[in-house]
Amino acid sequence: MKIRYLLILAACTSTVHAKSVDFDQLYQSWSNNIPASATAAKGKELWNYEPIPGKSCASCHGDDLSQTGSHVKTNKLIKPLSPKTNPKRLTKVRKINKWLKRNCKFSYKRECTPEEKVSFIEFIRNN
Amino acid sequence: MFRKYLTTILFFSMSFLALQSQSDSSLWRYFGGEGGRGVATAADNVLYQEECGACHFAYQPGLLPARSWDRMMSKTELSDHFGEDIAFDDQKIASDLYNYLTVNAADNSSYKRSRKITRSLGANEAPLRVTDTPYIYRKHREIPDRLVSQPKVGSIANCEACHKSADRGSFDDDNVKIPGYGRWDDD
Repeated sequence: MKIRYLLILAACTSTVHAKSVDFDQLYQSWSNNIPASATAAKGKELWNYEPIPGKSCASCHGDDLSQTGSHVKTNKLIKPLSPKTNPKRLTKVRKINKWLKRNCKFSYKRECTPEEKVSFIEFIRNN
Repeated sequence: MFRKYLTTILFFSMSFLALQSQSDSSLWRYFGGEGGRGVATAADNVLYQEECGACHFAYQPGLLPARSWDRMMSKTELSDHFGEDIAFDDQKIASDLYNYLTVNAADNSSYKRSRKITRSLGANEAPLRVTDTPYIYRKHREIPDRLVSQPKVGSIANCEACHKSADRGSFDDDNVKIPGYGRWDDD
């Protein structure tokens, strides 16, 4: 009986911890040749870039990633992006890809380049 | 003796079944008070909350008829969802959402508000905005613009700004609190 509980417990914890995102592998999946310019600093710079007025990353996520954001069109509250305050962030490859695509289209009306994507993720990881 | 019991049991099971057939979610609907008066909750659908509720209030399926959801989930509409391209890469997710939305749509629900929304629409009307349904439009018509356009609200589409129990599908006057104004009496 006890063993069964232990097994269940082990199964639960392993599903939580087994897959942390391998960022190098993720970046590789976007391009085999990520330029050295793709950095957290570049991501920070792009954070406020708004080719479409009022639609930068910061428009919804704010400048302080540890704070709750608010969707610029709908006012829907958005949980903090910072993995330090919100440990669920950047834990699933599927979600990272989904949101990069959706939000780049929101802000730039196109998908982001691998350089931009790496810069954003590096910026979010370090904030 | 046995016959007497049988009649009683039959009577209760018949009335139970009759009530069940009227309901969306069995006993909860019957005993849930406001549950049956608003629209069926969407809070229990994780996929819907994650996919749609991340950017905006997760409008309950019971706020629009199935033909509206059918239109909304079409490829054309998804690539221009109120100005945004939100096309799904994962077709399984898209079809799961489609099924959830249409099965639980207003015209398939017996909840009070869902029925009123359905009744207010022409048989071929398929609005994409909840606020374009005559019933919902009528319900909000008298609210002054300044209360709607204030930053904490923004638009009538921001249900939760004033309907404090909107996430549970309850839109009763009692749970309305307009920022900077307070309770709103709909009479």
